[in-house]
Amino acid sequence: MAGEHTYRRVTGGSVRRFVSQRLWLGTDHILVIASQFLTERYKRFYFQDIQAITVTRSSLGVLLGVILAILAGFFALWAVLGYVLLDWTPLPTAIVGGIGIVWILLFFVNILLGPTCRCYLYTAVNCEELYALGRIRTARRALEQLRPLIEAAQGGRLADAQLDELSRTQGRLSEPRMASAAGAAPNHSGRHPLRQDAGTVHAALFSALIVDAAVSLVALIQPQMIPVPLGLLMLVLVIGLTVAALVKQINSTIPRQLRNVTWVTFVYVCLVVLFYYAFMFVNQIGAEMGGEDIPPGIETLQMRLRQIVSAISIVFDIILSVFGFRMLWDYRNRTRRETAMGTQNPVAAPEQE
Amino acid sequence: MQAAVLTCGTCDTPVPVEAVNGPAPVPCAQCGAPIEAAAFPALFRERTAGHSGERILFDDESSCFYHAGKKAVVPCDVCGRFLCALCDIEFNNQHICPYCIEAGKTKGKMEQLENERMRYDRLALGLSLLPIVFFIPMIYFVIFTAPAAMFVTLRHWSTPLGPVRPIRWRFVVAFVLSVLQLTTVGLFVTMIVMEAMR
Repeated sequence: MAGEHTYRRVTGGSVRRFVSQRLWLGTDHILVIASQFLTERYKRFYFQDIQAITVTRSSLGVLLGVILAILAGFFALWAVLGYVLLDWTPLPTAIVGGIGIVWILLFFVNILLGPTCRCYLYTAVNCEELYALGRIRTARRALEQLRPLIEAAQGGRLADAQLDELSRTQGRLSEPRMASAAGAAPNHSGRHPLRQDAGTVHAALFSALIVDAAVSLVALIQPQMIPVPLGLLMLVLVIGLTVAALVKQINSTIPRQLRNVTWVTFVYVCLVVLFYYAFMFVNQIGAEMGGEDIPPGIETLQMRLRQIVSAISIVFDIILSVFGFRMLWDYRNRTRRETAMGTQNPVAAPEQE
Repeated sequence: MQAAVLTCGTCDTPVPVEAVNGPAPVPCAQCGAPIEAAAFPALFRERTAGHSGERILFDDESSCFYHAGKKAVVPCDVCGRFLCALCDIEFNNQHICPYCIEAGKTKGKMEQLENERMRYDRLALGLSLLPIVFFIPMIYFVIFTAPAAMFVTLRHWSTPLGPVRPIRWRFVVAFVLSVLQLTTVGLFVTMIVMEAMR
């Protein structure tokens, strides 16, 4: 068989939707192997056909880190609460704590692997995502390995004249609004074009956070003034608006910073829900025990804990809404400015040869 | 010639000029994600137009096997048929006709045309591991899975595994596990029969 035993492994490898991808280096091409259960699919990209490789940093690693931290914190809290409040024997404590340690280890592994990225390989006929190179460090290492081979196959580096031409092409289109407004950016990767979003749902979310902060503050000072269903209703409203904002910002013109604030809000809401869940769990256990075996001072401790969490949530509500409104304000101003510029100077269609 | 546009992996906006072959990542103008791009001369290569093949003008010219009215320019390196410029496919430094390409792909003779392959070694290993992983629900199926794993191992031992590292360790492990499983079942059944006879 031609090419047998001639492949060298390129660094990296990843799994997405039950399909694992690995890259192998042949004598004159990159072999991308996608394995799914019992079958393997092969794609060969010859060095002389590769036009470009782009590496874009993504926020997946941060999101993964936050999720792992939440899981680790949840299990650690569960183990501590079980041991301290419910007098668990060492065995269940060790089991729950052990699961927490596994999540902590995964959290640190995620940190050690470094930031994530999206890597695309361009040829004249397609644009392939190399998700095997899912970390910046891996992608750079692979790029260092591939660059000399591709340049050798194509007879050298990009000439200065070509770089100038590329600068003109990319430069003309790199203004985001101009590119999308003129429809000039060809959807090379087959993804949907960006959708213009005014950020109305985001504004509603940050307003709801301010209202939630006000309700929590009143509940903290005068608990009898705020009925319990109102607090729950606010929580449900914030959850709903957060999910709606996350959905709305997909493939939209919402800037990265504002997207990140929405994701942080989502994580914060998850933590609040987890806290309430743990709190209700402990209360239920206490009720089942009939309140007889609960050590004195525990109820006071629970109340203090609830007050502390309420205070923290008020601070977080305010910080998130202030940051969110500030970024939304900037984004809307910029959009307004660019729209005004666009109407004054309509963008010329890109040159076609 | 106008080059293709390189876009941000997150928002599909064209990447900033400074990010192309630059020393450090540059933030995307739309989403702010740091981008680095390596561009190569192929980005500016002209796409060559395909040849349609010349028409035969004189009687003494040989014609293409597939197009009687077109002039033959080269014989197929696999089957020897005369080919016109339209039918001539340059592949692996050879001139091959479309039929031989198709046949090579179907029969798996041209590895570089192969884009999918069944991994029988994984199937064999999966069959032998199934009763071990799902011990309780699958233990009675050993009498089916173990012979099946052995059959797959023997039947596909010489089937090409893959283009990279074609080592057959999975077949070996599957076969050994299957033999052990069948031996255990055999011993167990023998014990039961002997117990019943006693």
